[in-house]
Amino acid sequence: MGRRDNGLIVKGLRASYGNVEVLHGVSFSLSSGVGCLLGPNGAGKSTLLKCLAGVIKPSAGDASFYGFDLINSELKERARLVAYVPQEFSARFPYKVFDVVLMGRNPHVNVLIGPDGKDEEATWKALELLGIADLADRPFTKLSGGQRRLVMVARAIAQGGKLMILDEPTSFLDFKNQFLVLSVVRKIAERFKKIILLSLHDPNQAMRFCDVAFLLKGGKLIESGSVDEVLTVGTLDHLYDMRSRLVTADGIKFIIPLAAAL
Amino acid sequence: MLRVKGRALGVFPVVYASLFFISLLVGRYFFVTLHPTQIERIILLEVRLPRIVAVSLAGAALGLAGIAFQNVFRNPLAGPGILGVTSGSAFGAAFAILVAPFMVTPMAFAFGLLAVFVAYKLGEKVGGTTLSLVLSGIIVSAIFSALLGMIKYLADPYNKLPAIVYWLLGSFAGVGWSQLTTAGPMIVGIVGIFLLRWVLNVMSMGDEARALGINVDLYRKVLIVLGTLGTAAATSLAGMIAWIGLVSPHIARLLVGYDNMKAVPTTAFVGASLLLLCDDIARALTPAELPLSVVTDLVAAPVLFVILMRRGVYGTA
Amino acid sequence: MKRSKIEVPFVVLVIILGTLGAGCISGHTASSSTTQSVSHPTSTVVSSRTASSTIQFVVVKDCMNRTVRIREPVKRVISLYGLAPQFLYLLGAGKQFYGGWMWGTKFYRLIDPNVTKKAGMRDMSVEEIEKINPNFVIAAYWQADESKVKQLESLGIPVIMVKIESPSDVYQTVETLGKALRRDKVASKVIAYYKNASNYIEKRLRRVKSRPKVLVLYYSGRAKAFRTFGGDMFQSRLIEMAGGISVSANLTGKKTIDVEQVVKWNPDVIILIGYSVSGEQARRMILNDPAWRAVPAVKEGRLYVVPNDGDNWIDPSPKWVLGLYWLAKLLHPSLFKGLNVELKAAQFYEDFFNLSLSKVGLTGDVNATLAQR
Repeated sequence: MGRRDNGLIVKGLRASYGNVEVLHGVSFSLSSGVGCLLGPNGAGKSTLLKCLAGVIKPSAGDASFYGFDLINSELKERARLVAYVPQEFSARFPYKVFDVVLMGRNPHVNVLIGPDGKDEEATWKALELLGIADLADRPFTKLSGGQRRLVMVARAIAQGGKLMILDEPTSFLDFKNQFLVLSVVRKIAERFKKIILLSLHDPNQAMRFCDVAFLLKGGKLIESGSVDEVLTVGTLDHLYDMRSRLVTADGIKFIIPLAAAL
Repeated sequence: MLRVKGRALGVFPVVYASLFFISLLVGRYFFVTLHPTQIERIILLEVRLPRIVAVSLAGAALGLAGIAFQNVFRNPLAGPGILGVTSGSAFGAAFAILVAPFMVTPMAFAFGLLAVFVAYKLGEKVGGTTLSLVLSGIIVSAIFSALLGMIKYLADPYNKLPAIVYWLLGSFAGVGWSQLTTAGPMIVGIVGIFLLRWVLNVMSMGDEARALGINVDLYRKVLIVLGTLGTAAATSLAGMIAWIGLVSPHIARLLVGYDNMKAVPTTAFVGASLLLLCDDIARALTPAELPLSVVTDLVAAPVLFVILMRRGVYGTA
Repeated sequence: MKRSKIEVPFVVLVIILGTLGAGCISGHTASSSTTQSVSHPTSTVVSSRTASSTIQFVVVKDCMNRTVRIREPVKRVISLYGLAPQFLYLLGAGKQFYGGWMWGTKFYRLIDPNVTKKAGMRDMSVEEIEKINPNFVIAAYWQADESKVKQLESLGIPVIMVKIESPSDVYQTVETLGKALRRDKVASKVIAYYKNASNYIEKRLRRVKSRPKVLVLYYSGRAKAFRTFGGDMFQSRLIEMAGGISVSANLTGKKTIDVEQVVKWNPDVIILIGYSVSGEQARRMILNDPAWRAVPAVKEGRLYVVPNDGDNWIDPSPKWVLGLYWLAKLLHPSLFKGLNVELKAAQFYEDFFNLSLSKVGLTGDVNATLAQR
């Protein structure tokens, strides 16, 4: 087997919602950098990420991170290694931004005592890193979509860990905020040497900000590899059932959609 | 250790302490003296003190059950009775009044626990989500209410029926030291929920809490048990006490914010103070004891209204 | 928009149905009670000819001054008021009691073994009552507005209203029922006995120098909350009649009171009545409770259990007169030296119920007297 327990290794992962199987045995590995999941709606990207994050339980398969079993491990231990940024924010009560990010420290906190000075420091650091320290006292429910997404990312940073999973981090964001969030994520990956797995809708963003791409269609992995290798007109047209064209401008590659089948 | 911000957290214990002291002086047999006679001493130590202690514990237990359930069910209008504990207790007490008048407190307690147990099991069968739990609670409440109605019908209208009706209106009349065996579950509920206040914070995130390392199913069960113990004990001792469990968390949040690290201890003091105020009125205003829920309705419900006006249902003013 | 199209007709439908429903229910009230101010004999025998027989009627005036015609002979009486059937037994008309509400059957089982079954017929519907076709139905005056009573009257079933809230109410009730049952002689005997006792006590009490403060308590089913009777209730009035001061006179109805209030009132004597919990058990609870020691009467043991023979002697029942004797002797032993309560009870049971004292399960402090201070 060799020293192949580097990074994230997923084998034969299956998951179902009720009686319907959504993931039909997905296997891949990611040893460093930013990996992205691309695929049409309903391909199973969200499901896959939730399995790895521990939000839902897969029906079959393994996933490990540096040898640590992600599927069957104890919740708190896993939370110390893996941070999850969800697509939708379900805060019902108007906690302050600081308190929301502080909750990310849960895996390091003694449940009966609560967070301590170290936890509060880590929270401040995360807020400053994302440039939202001035939002600390604002109620979470009063933020814009972009700001909320940044707070969630800050929470994941405060949580620590070597693996960060983001479920459609660009959804609900405007043009500028999408760019911002992805830039931040890229910065985090490089600065803290974290392994990041996220899902995207736009292959152009994948080409710009990610290292590795995994193409998911109908619950199956159809392609994986470096972004340059995988994100070609051929594979993308096959993935999305479209016709597109690759264009280069100022040294940056763009995929331009031309036509799509209904 | 605990870094607690804000002065407001310090204010309420002081308010409670003064209320405690004032309550000791208030009563039908009014006296203020530094050298109490034997009668006055008995009244202080055997009549007022145990009652005040019981009322404080019940108020705190109900308030904390309220805040726990509001966080577990992520619903700011959840009260301690959401899973049916108060309906079950009411039935248990009425049944006891009908057949075994000395067993009112233990029967009320037992049936309160039973109601929640049934609601929980039902909720699991129906899906296991928080929504299915709440719906099961509604069903169980309805069943026990119907059974209660049956008992009222069977009770003789000259003696037993008025006793049942009066019990349902709530009262701490006659509570002395020997009744404080019910203090045990109340204290368990209070201490337990206090210790888990951080968990309440994280659980308000819903299912994501799992990704943050919280065993949501386990803590939900534990919090329901703690809240139910406290509420069942308080209800078995004093009957149906409305509003305190629902309103105290909101008042606390108005003072110290939503962070449960501060809101939970504040809720305990708010609940104790509010109920103490209501009970003082109930026992001292008129020669006969006023039913407690009449007083809580008149005091606490308008308070809730004012809070909702200022804060809005989801706390966004 | 679709929403308003459904809402408006729906609301209209509800209003129409609601009005019709309310009309149906209230339509049953046929006011058939005529109030004639007849100041002369209130009982008349009226006979009317029918094809085969002569039906006799007796006419009585009930406590609301309504004139009620009753078909004779009286074979079946139904009671909607739990305190009324006892007086039927007092008048020796227990056989005619068919069934209905009756609170406290223990004593009457000694006379009529079927009384438990009869008292189990609580809450009969109007149809059932009509099928039974009683000669009359007894109801309390405060039941006058109930739909059941109104329906019975509209069906032609006579309803006699009674009031039992004071001794004079009792006299009137006995008189009215006596006339209705054609047992005027027995009724007169009973009333004479009552009035005799009442006068005897009142005369002696003219010499009274001080009236003790009395508190009557009973356990209400919740832990240690005791209830008392307000000034408008029979028990409180009886205390006043027996030469005591009822400390709870300024309350109304039945109220729960706190120990502190008792200390404030500082009664000279506390009497305990038993319902679901016996007076003896209530006394034990109070004596064992350190909180009650703040009350001087408790500390000095001036707690007495009201005698109970199935009925509590001071409750509004035929035995109330025994309660009066008992209270008078308890509160003013020096004024009633010659009064032997137990003997009076034995005579009463013999004369009016044909029972010997030994048969009656009598509990409580029958021969208690308040020691003079």
